[in-house]
Amino acid sequence: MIQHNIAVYAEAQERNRIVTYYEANRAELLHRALIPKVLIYSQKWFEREGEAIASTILAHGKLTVVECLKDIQLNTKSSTLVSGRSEAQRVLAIKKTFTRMVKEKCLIAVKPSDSLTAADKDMADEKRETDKMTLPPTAAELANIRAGLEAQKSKDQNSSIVGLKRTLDSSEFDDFDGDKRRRLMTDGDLVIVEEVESDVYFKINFERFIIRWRNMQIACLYETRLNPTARKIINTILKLAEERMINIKEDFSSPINSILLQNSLPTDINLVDTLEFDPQELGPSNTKPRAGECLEKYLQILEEDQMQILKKDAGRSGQYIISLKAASRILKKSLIQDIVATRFGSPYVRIMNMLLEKGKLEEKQISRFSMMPVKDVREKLTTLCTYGILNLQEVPKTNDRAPSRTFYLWEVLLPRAADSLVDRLYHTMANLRQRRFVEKAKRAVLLEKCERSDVKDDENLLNAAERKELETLNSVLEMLEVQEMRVADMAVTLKEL
Amino acid sequence: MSRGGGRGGGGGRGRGGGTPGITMFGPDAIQATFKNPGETYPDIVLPVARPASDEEGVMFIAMKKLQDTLYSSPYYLTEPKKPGTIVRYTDRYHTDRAATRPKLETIKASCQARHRLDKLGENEEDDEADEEIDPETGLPKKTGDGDDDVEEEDYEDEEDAEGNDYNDTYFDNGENDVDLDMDEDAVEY
Repeated sequence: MIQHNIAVYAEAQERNRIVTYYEANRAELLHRALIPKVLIYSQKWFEREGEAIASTILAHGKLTVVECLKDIQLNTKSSTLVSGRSEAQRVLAIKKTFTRMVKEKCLIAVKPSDSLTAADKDMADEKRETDKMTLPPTAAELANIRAGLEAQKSKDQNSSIVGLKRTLDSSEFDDFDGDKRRRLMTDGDLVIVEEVESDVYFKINFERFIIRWRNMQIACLYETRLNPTARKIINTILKLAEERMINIKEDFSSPINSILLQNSLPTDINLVDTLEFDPQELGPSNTKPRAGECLEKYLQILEEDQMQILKKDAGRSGQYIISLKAASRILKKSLIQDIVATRFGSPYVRIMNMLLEKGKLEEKQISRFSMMPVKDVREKLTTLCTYGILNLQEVPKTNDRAPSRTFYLWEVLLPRAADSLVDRLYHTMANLRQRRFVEKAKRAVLLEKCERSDVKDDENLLNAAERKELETLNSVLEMLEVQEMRVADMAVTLKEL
Repeated sequence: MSRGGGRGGGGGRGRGGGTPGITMFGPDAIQATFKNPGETYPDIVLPVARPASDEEGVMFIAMKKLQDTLYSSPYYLTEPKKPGTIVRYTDRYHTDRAATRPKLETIKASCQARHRLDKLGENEEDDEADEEIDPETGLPKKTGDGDDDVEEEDYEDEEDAEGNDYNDTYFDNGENDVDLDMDEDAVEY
């Protein structure tokens, strides 16, 4: 389990022997529900080699480049080589994709210290610092040490990518058209090339995938509000800012220069025709403005949009910044609204929206604003409260909290609502999994029959009814698995973003 | 008198319900819910799930492939099947999955190699040039010597500590466990 990053260990000295304690890595376990999506998107972003690499690494937990390569070659030896590439070319392609994945942080290096629990590491660091001092530390000094260690930890995270090394490669860059950084004119054709270190273990970095999916979702928000061109622009901005995104919980992306943005837009984007211009503004010749001015207009529209996601970077002209906090809040809100609408119906969503907009309200005010009788409103409020979406705040008028003399204010706290919904979603996932086991158990005899070696060779040994049963089982399992993936998606949006 | 009691009760109820804002919480509200409890299991319109899209179908197939790989990998440990009391004709066709998997020891070798490599890295640190990344901590080697020594000591302690004899029996799947605490036959309170 440690090999697969599911468990971590800690060693403690107890009496006269060292006892090892093991702990499950909850975050990693919950990320495993996203594995199907990771496989598909690694194929989309890194082509077929990316998918092969991702599935091999997932099968083993962590791997080095060399082992990964060997494994892929073993697994695909039997299948015919596609597109007639030679073996050496394929090896090169796989290595190149691997390097690209490491550079884009989709694969992250694993250090031996990763197998220790986080609390243990912190305690060991603290102990190291305090051992340097002669007297036991006071509370203030301890706080200073902790702050210093945290700063160092965040600095380590922000530092360069672990596991890549730069070597001087004197080969021709025809067959390795990888990264040409600087060219040293003195020694002939030396090129600095980035390669993956061959003895560092890598694992899939789920956070990176989640960050990219979130960026895609933010861009989709703009597509529904404006047009596909706006989505492409936001996509480009986020792609440029993605390099600096370390973890999900950041509030703002790094600032992007509008000139850089103009140069990195995809070539098929059509800025001019998708904007409608006021003929008076165009001037006497009535020509449409150039792409640069159109981009400015677009950025202006995006900035003035009610969602307030794109903002001008204060103090620096021409730089734009994306407020990830606002974006994630909007994504969560729309998901919760969808869930409530499907589960309960639109009157409930009406109440929820109103409370989100207006803050805390009393029952009477809610019934007036939502145009529903008080009895109905009361029923809906209590249902939503037991579901976890609403909160009640008591404001007493007098010293004693008599129910007749207190105000009861209802409100929606988005983080709390998200948390309780995530809980329910995990319950749903557990139900789906259990249902999967039950369905398999119902047909256990048939499945055992299918495992027989003579049946595996010859399908005709199963009669028609059994084959039909197998088909039903397959379709049921597929439906359950698909639903589980959808629920896992929702849980990630609510929990991680 | 029932009529008088009914009137008195009706009057009291009317007074309690007439004042606004009190009926939400308090003794009168409880009466109201007892009078109209509602259905125990109201009918819900069960939503029909959207059928799987193409992308989701591909995801399912990819996941199934990965699952099959995992089940036949050395990491998926199952107990080997014990021979049953009755020998059946179909037994010859049943393959024992536990027997066909590659053993976990094949992986163990590479893990040990990694530990050895880490130790090698500790010695090579002193010889390497500035740009090299320290293989064990993954940070560019700019830290002072003091830290490295402490880390080396920690690692050596982990490897050579007396009570730590897990290295040999780690991948045993629990076969040669010795009860260190003498707990096995003890009574639990």
